[in-house]
Amino acid sequence: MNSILYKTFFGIAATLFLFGASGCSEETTYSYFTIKMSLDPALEPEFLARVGACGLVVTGSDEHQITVPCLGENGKVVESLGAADFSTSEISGQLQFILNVYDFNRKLVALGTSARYGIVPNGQTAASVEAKKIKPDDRADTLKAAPSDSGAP
Amino acid sequence: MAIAGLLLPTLMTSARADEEPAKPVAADVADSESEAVPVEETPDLPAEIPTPATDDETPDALRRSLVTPNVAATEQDEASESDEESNIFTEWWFWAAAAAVVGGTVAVGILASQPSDKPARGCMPGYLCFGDGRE
Repeated sequence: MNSILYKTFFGIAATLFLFGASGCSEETTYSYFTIKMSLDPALEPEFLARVGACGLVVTGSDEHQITVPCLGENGKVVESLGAADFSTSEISGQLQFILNVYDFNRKLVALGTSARYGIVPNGQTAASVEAKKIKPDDRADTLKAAPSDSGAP
Repeated sequence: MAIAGLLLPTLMTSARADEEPAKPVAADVADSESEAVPVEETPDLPAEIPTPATDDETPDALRRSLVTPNVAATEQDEASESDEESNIFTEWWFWAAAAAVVGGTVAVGILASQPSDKPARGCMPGYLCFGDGRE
């Protein structure tokens, strides 16, 4: 009878071990997005002089945000905001990128929304987003759409 | 017949009595401490009741009663084995192994449910890198 106990005990142990070990075999799959960020070339120098901070927000199947260093050493907006490389462990769905530009009073003054890009596991997707000046009439609507802490430093 | 009356209830408790081969009474009585007690009182019985010489002269009940100590010994062995089985739960190594199995399983389950520590690819120069798998 003792042998039955032993067999039962170690049988359960082996089953649990194999069940748990099967979960360890999974590896994270990343999808990559390269986002080219820019400001509307039509923005006036007076407007650009008011820019104090920029932020990039990821929405959709995954959510992230990051501060974009859009000010140069001289305190003025750099001509090119450059590109961001975003990685997600989601394996399906869509992502959208929002570029927020704030003035020194942390008021949203320019906004850019990219198209929706599908997530391709182990894939590389090129995206772009351009921020355009927000008209006073549009500001109320865009503020509602944008997250409250959307990339603001 | 008196000894048969004393030992008959013991005989009735086991249906296996008929299956066990007959063994010498004295040796089994010495090994048994439980239901063989009535047999140990045999010397107090009248001396004129001798052990039957042949099966033909022995009443069936008495003959079966002589087998009873053997049955008792078998039951005692089974009880002893049962004690050994229950004793496994009092062994420290059993509970240590059980704790190791349960703890290991929980740990493996937690680790398996969390994302892998595999980092995302490296950041290219000039790029602002963020997202999953990156600090």
